[in-house]
Amino acid sequence: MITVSVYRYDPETDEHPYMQDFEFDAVGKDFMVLDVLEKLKIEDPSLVFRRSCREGVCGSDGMNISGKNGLACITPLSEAVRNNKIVIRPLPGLPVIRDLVIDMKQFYAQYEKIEPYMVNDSPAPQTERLQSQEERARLDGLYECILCACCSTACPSFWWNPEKFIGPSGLLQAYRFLADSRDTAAKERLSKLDDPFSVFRCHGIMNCVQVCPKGLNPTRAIGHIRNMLIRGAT
Amino acid sequence: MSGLILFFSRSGTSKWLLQRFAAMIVLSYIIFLACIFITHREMDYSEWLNLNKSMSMRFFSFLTVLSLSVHAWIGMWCVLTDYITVRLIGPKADFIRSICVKFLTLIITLYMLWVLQVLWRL
Repeated sequence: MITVSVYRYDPETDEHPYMQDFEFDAVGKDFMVLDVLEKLKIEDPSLVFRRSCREGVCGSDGMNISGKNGLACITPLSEAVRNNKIVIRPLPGLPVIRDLVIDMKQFYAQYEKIEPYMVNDSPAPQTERLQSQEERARLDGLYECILCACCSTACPSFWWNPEKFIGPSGLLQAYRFLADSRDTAAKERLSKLDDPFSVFRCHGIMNCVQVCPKGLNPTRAIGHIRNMLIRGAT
Repeated sequence: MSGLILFFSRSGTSKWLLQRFAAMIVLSYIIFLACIFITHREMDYSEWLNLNKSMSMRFFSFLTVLSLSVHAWIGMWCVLTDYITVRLIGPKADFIRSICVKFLTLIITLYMLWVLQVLWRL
């Protein structure tokens, strides 16, 4: 029997958020945290959380599990339970809508800022724009981001300046287009990032690397963007 | 002059580069002084005074203090804009931060003027 402590908050009925404890019998099995939440929801249908694909692809069920951001669907209980207890909270740093559901408007606003689409003004070829194998390989470790927000909401710089600092997820995506041989807007993209906050507020804390459920490295991508900005400035 | 342009530029890259260049100047001054102390172990006050009286040493000392001031100002500005925000301490944050930045600028300017006066009087 383990204790599952879940953050509860319904702004329509609760004055303040509180933690609710549930008892859960794992019957010797290593469930995923999402399975536990699904079972708790049968017990208490008022419990609210996001979920969709339940296999670490959609990025809907990002939450703070025993102090570390991650996806509930691919986090096994054995990794999250400490002293027979698991504590589940919403992702930190963004407003809570209800229980484990956060308002991701600010996160998406930063994503929109980096213009996450290919820009190429040359006439479109008859088939597709080709890349060499090396050029394509540069996108590995960048395109896999599922926008779950685990990294940005683990970043103190994003907590402090979410309106100004793009955040690790947005910057990883920014570099995904900067590194793309088919994109011709690198100069414009860099000039939009060249202020004291968008990129340079990254202090290299590397929480983003520690929590990314896809094993990506936003800090490295931020370093590449910084180098591109410096090369442009000197 | 180019340093001043970088300092007042709105570019994050310029500020980042300027802070690193400033750190390199401070580091070179520390290494220079360490070499002096190692190679002149018996140096007395008059030798120390003569060394600091030379124009090149005065210039190097002032350049180091100027670099330290720039480095400190950019670093402290980053700290203030990280920690004193509306999100963290409420709607008065912008006012409090602008007071802190002005106080920081004043202290650093006074510090530089004091160093200049010390170097000039040698």
